[in-house]
Amino acid sequence: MGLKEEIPVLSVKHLKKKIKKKWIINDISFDIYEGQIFGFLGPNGSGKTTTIRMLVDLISPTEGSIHVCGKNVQTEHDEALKHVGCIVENPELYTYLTGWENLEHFAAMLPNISQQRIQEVVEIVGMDQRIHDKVKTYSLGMRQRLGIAQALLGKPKLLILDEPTNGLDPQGIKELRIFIRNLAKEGLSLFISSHLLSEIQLMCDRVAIIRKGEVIAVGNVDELLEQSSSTVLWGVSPVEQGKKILQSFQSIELTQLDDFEFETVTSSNIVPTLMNVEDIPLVNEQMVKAGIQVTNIEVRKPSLEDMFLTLTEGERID
Amino acid sequence: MKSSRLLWSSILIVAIITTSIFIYGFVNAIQTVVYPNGSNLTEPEAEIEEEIAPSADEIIILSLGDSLTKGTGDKTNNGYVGVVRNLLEENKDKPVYLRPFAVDGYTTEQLLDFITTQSGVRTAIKESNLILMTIGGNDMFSPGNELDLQTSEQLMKDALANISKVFAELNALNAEADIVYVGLYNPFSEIDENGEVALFVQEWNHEVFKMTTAYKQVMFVPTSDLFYKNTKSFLSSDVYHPNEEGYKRIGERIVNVLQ
Amino acid sequence: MIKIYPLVRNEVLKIWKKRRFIVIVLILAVLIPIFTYAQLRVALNVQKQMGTEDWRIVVQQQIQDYENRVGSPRMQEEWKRWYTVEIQRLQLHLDQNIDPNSPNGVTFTNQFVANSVGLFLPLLVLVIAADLVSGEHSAGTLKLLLTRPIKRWKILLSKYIALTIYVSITVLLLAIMSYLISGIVFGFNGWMQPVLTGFEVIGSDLNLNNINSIPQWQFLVMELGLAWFSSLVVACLAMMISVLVRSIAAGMGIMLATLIAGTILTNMVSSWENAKYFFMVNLQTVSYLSGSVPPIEGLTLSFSLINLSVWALLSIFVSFVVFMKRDILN
Repeated sequence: MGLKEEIPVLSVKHLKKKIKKKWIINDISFDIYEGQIFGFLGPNGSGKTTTIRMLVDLISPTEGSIHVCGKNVQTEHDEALKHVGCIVENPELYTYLTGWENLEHFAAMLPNISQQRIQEVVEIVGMDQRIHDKVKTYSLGMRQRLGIAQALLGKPKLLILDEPTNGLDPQGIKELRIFIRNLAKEGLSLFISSHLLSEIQLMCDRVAIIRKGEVIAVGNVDELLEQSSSTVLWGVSPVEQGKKILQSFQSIELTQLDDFEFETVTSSNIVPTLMNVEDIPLVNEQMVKAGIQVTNIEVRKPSLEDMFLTLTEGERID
Repeated sequence: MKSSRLLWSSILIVAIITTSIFIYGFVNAIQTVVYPNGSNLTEPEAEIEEEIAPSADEIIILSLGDSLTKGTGDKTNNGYVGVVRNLLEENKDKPVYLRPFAVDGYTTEQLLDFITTQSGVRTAIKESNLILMTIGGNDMFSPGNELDLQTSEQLMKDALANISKVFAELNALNAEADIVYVGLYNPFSEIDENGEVALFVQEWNHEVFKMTTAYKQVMFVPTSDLFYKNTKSFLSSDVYHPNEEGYKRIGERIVNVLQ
Repeated sequence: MIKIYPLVRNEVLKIWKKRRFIVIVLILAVLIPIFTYAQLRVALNVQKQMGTEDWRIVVQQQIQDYENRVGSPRMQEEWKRWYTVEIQRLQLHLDQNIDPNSPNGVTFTNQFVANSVGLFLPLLVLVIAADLVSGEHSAGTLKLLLTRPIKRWKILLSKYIALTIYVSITVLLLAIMSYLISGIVFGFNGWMQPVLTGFEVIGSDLNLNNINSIPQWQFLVMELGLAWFSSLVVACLAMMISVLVRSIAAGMGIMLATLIAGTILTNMVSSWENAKYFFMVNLQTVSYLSGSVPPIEGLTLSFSLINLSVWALLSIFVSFVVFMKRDILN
């Protein structure tokens, strides 16, 4: 693809942040190109918000650099952030102002925003009805929309949304998804953070998974999902018949254990497979039907999602 | 915000005007205080002597003189003036006002200067219905100092001359008001074994009394008999000024004289 | 390049829409009638005691009263000094035939401004200044402000300008409301009434060489100028606290405690000379105009103004450095 030659809309290189002698962010790098929807996936407390704050110059990085459209966010604050619209965490706007006054407020902070443009973004997010009401009377969903309207005011090249589906009902999430797709079609790049894989899966083209301040995987969502099978060790007897049954499933792939793992496997009638964990009951049923003894089912590497879920379990409180 | 254009321009205009005025005032204040440029005061014009007469609808008491009139020694600080005021208030159905002008330590000279130069007190004198005064004690004795009758004798002459002028001035300002001169008493009667001080006090009182006879509205009210017996029980802790009880007796006597 | 003008407009309108100004108007509308009534009671009481409205008699009596106090052996030295100066000041008014307390709306306003500058006016300024930054911080809107393509110093500068605008309007409002409300009771004239100014207190003596008799309106303008300056300094300090302390309540508490400590200090520090370096004891700049004895010996208008300026500049410096460097973590 010729995309590689163009300047990325957002380019993050070796980003590190140390707060109170603790590395909160440890070497994060990624690029986002025009029209891409980039998911930033990680459990709460993994460093997502800190990273986003560095992207928009709320926090200065200890090491590394961030460029938006080739401009350094730290040294060329105005030029870089001109291209960025963002909602950091919650869509916090001035509750004592009306929606319209909020938009006028932020329009005044950008060069050459006309009243027509404000009207345009109001229409884009479908807020015409209530735009002249005080923000304190708005529901969370409406605030979210107003936040997006605000972010779109300056026709940004990059839109950063932090947990955009938080507090939305399923209908709202669905609408948001369509909305984001449409924005991307118009050439806007989006950076969306979330702690829910399913959400990223449905919304994004590319994803970076972050855990404890480090990126553990970057790639296209589909590719990552394909890799998301787990290693399952089947203890079956007799072994050969068991293997045949396992091979009869298309989604199951027989594999070799690497040396280290092999040492821990003592029994000889172990068949290592790459498969989706959800299929285990079905396979087991087949085994039993065929009269094969299943002595052991051991899941070695969790799938991407499982791995992700275990990461997020118990870490819901920030 | 365009929707608040009127509000914004109003605030801005008011703020600019106000701030300019304040900056002007600030600079002006610094000039006046830090870099003063002489005084623009002129000699005040000679005071127009207003014709003020005491009103018959009210009783205005003016107290003049020294610590005895101020009420020193009385814990309530009202002195005999307060006693007179209260008694008059009970007896008459007119409003009674009190203007206390007595100052601790005043001498006849200070009093004379005070009533001849100070416009405030001159106005007050003109408006008064009753003037209560004690003066002279500080000219001849000062509390705490050794009693020396020889010196006091010499000082008496000047003091009497001043008092004469005081009476003349008061009479000139207000010929209608009752003026009560409260005579001196002898606070030292218990150590005054051969009556020297008593005689001296009596001499003073006599001289002042002679002056008062020249004016029909000036009354001399003697007090030395009030403090003749059991002197200490009527004096305050400084053994010089009367206490509440002493002031009460003076006040009651004045009211009796006035009735 | 975004000019500073729209930013200032944003800030000014936000403060207005937060209805902070209505709070100030309400405070004034409730308290000024109370002060007016208290003043009226004092006047009525004097009249009841002395049976006169003639100011010369009242002032004369006051002088005699002060002379008795100065003569009292129990009187503390600092108070004696205060009374001695006051006697000279009143005597000059008598000599010049100028009523120092002529009962009208302008005189009341003059005295009200002079009495407000140490505590009341700073408190009103706090109503506006205390949460200018910390309020945005706790509401989360600061994040949006700082992610706009505008340098942080411009954002903070726009807040300072907006604050100056409101300090001006607050001082103006205090004067106007005080004049209008007290005028109903005491009458609206008195603008041209002469007042004396230019006193210089040296020890317990008044230097009378530079005394000027000026119309009361001019005195009021000078007084408001000084009060405005003091308020501005308080506003700058409140702004610094607002930048440094994220909690609005804590920031407000710090400023309140400091200001109240200032009024306590002015009443007791006369023997502790170094206390004059605190900004709080220097706020009462207005008193130099009317020749009151400063709370600490050696305080002069120049000293107070320089002291206040240094405090204000330091606070502005600290605010900008912290605001520009700080990571916005929550």
